[in-house]
Amino acid sequence: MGQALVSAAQWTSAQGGSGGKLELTPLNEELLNAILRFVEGFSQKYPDEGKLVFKRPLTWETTLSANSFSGFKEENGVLVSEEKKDDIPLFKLQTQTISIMTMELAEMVLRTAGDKKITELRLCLEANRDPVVNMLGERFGTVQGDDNSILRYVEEIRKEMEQLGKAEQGENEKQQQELKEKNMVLSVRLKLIGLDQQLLNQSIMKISTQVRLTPKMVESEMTTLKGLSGEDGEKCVLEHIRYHGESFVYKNGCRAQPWRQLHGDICYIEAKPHDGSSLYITANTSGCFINKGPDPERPGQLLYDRTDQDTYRDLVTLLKAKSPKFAQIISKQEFALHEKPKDDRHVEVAAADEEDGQGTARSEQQGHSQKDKGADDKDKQNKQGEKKKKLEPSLKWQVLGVDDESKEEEEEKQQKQKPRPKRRSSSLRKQKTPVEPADSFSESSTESEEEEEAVERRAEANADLPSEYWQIQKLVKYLKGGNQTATIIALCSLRDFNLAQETCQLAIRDVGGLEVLINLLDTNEVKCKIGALKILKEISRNTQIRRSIADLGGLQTMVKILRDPDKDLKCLAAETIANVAKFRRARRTVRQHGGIKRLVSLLDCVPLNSTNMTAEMELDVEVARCGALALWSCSKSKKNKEAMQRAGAIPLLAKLLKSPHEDMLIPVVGTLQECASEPSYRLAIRTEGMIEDLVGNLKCTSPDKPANPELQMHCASAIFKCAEEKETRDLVRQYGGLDPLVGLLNNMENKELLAAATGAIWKCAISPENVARFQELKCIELLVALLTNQPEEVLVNVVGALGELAKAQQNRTQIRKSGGIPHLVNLLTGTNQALLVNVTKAVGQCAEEPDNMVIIDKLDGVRLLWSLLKNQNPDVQASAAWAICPCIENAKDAGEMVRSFVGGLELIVSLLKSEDKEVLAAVSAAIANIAKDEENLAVITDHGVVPMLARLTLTHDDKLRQHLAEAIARCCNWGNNRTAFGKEGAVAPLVRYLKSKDENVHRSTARALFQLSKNPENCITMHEAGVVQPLLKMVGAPDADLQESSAGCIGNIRRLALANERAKYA
Amino acid sequence: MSVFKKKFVNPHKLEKKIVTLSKESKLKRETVKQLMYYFQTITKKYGGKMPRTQFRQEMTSRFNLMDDFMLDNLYRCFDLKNRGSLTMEEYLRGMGGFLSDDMEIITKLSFTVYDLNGDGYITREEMMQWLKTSLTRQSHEDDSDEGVKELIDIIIKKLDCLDHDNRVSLKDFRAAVAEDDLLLESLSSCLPPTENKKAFFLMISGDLKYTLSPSGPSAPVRFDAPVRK
Repeated sequence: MGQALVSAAQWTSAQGGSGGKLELTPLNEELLNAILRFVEGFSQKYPDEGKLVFKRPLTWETTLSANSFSGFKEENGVLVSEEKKDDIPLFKLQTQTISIMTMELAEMVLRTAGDKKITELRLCLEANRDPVVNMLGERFGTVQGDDNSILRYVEEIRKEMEQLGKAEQGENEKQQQELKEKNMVLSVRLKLIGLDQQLLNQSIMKISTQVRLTPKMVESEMTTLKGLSGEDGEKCVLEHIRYHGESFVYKNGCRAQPWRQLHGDICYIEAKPHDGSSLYITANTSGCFINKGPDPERPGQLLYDRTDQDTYRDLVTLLKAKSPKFAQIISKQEFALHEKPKDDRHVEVAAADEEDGQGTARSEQQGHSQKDKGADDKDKQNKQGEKKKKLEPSLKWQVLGVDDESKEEEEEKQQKQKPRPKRRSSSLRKQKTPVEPADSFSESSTESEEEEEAVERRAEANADLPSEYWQIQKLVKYLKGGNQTATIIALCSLRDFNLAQETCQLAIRDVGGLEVLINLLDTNEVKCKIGALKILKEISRNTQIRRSIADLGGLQTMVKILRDPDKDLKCLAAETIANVAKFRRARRTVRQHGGIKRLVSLLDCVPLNSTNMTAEMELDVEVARCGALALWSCSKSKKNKEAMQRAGAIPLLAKLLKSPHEDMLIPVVGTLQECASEPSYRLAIRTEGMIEDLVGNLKCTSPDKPANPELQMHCASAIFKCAEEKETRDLVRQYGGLDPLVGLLNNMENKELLAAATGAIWKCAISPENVARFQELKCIELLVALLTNQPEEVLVNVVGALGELAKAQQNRTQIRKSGGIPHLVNLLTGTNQALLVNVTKAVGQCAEEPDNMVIIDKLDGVRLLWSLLKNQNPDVQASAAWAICPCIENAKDAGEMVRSFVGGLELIVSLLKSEDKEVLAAVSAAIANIAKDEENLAVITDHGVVPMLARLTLTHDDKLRQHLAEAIARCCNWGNNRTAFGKEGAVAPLVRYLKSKDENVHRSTARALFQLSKNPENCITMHEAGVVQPLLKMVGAPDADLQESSAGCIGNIRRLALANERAKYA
Repeated sequence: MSVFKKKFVNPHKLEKKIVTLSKESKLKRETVKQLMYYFQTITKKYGGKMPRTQFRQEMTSRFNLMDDFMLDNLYRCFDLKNRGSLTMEEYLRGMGGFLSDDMEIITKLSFTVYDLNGDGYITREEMMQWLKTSLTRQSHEDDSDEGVKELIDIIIKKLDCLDHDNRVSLKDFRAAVAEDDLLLESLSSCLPPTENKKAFFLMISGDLKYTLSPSGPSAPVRFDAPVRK
């Protein structure tokens, strides 16, 4: 019975040693009764064992007086028995202390006690928490886990018997005696174990009838019942069943309003059985009962009071009792329906428990209802023992200020509620056990089996969970329910797991560890905070964990910690923020809670290069490093970049950039390169002199230590972004940055580094001075070598760089010589838009060289370019059109080639409808080139190029104007196109182009006007538009081409005037 | 000053003492001197000795250390001769370790505190003493006992990291702490929290001279260290 007493009996909380008392609960009552029955029949059934003398007496404070015993002699006020063992009387009663040494005597005492025997037994058990030890000796003490004392004992007896058999008979009488005694002990022990098991079974049955309702159970029952409800009086159990009142479901699963949840209400249900009116049911944690239904005075409100004292275990039981029809139908479908909710229930009890266990005080409602449950619990004198404790509010040893208040509240509630639960529990007992004892017995037994099954099934289902999961669960339990010391131990131990492993990360989340860890950050215990952050830092590498941390409000707390005086703490918080702020919502949260400002302030540390750093100073530097790490993550959002700038991050970053340590430099440069997408940062980076440092970090600083590729990568990409500006490009060259950039091209393995380096080369090559240096460094060959077998990120930049470099004639030749053209043409078939833009540019640049053009033509490059005009992306369209221009210019038989593209001319004309100015300009330029060929000009005229060009003339964009005028000039050379342009009203706008400041516009406009002026109508229009004055000025322009066309145009106008005059006088 | 002179007759000898103490604890000489003044002030009414109760009160109010069991054991480490009150030297030596920033010194101190019987090993039984109250009691009674045992298993695995002999020697402890300094207070918090320590130093350095008017110890001690919220 040891096990039963230890595990099943419910002791009052003053445990440890002899202080504990058996509580007055029905469960204990049953246990005592069972033990009593066992003892009372003992000596009759087993007379021999009854006489077995205990190892030590069972002693307790009795309520019996000496004169109620007879048959013992009295010695100095002490009542003792005749029989003795080792000089200790088997029975002794001294004042109120009684001690006995056999079962027989125990039975006798109980008999003497009469109706007080239960009290007596209780006193005895309370004084002897493990009576087996007293009776049979220490070796049979109750232990948790495997108890093989019996086996060992049997073994021992067997051995002795063997020995006895071998030895001679006469000598061993004493041994034989001993053996006999041992056999006796064994038999008593076996009987006690039998009792023990019986007791345990009984208590399990008892406990399982008292399972409380949880929102989940109610819900599953509701779902099942809803499914079985309907109009059909034969098949459906109910007419309808639904939730009453608001449909809002609180986080804890309850539907009742929070103030009702305080009373344990889960939800209200309206059920309409086939016989009778609607039932209004309250589902309470203690069970279901009928309430008084809707309030007639306040519509939509319920009268919450119960109508009668009956509380039912679940909905089905209640409905069965209230509606005979329901009971009848349900009994027909007993198996289908009745089993199911029950089965669900058990699994769900476990699940719900787990969930509640996870719950933190975050949700106020939940907290309230839990507290309430906790209060209820105490009143019910912990009847549910183990099951319930998880529903209690977290007994965290350190909660913030609110704690005291809430405790008071809780106490108040407790007092208010006291009368109710008592009544409830008595009604419970009334209803359950006595009404139909047989039924309840059978039911509970099946239930208990089911429970075991459910547990097993769970174990099976979880069999594939790694062992770490359970260990972590245990540790998190200590985190939840331990004081500071236990918390620290659990934290240290958690860190022994491989926190980089996803299973461990998710296990911590799944067992509710994240909530606890984040809650720990809100305490004032520096050590715990450090321990918790160390774990959070590791596990926040997991994306799911990041989101959970953000959801649980961890970022806000960590931002708060950034102001903590403890530097270690600051570091860890910043590092964790760096991990968490990898997605947009988190970054926003950091900003909104003032995190950016605090992070920037972390950057402010001592001068980095001082020779003698104290530990304190080094810690400061570490803080700055972590701050930079966090800012790096945060700087991926535009608004954060702005916030950082406002907080004065740039000068601080500039200072940190001078650091000699890679650890520091990587986050700093990383932040800078993220921010360099903003023009304001680019300006600041240049003016704060950071280019020099960036270039410096690109180089190998010392010969013995190779430069860190990650650092180089960030530096290169910072330069990549900053080199949009000419001044920056010049600075890069001046600081000797081009050489290391080209040097990095040899690094074929690290693709990121390669992408960054080629990007930087691309942008730097925009300046002709840089191109010259790149030539010297033989950059072209290296880049061409990178055109194959590279990822697209690299290719985009390589091709971009080639496109820029190919602006120099020498380089174009070089590209051809190193065999780059076939690769480039090949890339025209790709799909990456950015790549296509660059490739078309590069091919276009290469096509400037007639020798290159031969190759491109041979590879059918022009056709590929042409087909790119169909691309959806206007950038691609434009750059393809631009590339087509030099191709047509430099190809042999260009006209023939263009005609060979079926539908090509129609396509390009149709692009004049585009919205994009760049596309229009490029297409105009291409049309100007196409129109050089008369046949093609005829075709495009047929496709209606004239009105389309004329419509575009109203533009103010100089680039478009230039190419448009050029196209118009060329298109005039066919049929009556000149007249057509005049009719379409293209002439007058063209005249206005002459007011533009761009000389290129002037040149092409003059050319167009010259062509148009060959038509007299156009001359008149031009003259009216005031063309003569500006043209006269342009005749004096330095540009010969412009001079010529202007003069030609004026000549045409003048000739017309002369002809008119001549006609007049003729 | 008078008490001071009575105690150490020779000022030169006193100076030497301060030097040794400051060397031992790696605290500044100035701080040791200040501690000395402080001790004198607060123990005037006890005749220059600090009784156990006062020690506990000091620790609780200045450093927010509340655990009685721990304080008893901390006191044991101060009162080496077990006389029930601390002399100035004992106090200075003890506080030297207690307030030190030196990892080795505080590691040793917390080890000594934890080693209840002083045999050089922290055994399971001793851990039991330390940890038995660490888990909030759960309604199910033997749970917490079981829990504490498991907790001990965990911590012994962490601390007994060198020879794995199921008990923790100073060497083990030192190695474990070097690995993870959170373990320094893994059985109980027996060291001053940084903030309180700072406040204490400030108090004994700056304001002390004011408050210690020669009129006597009755002058209100206004060392109000910020207590943790």
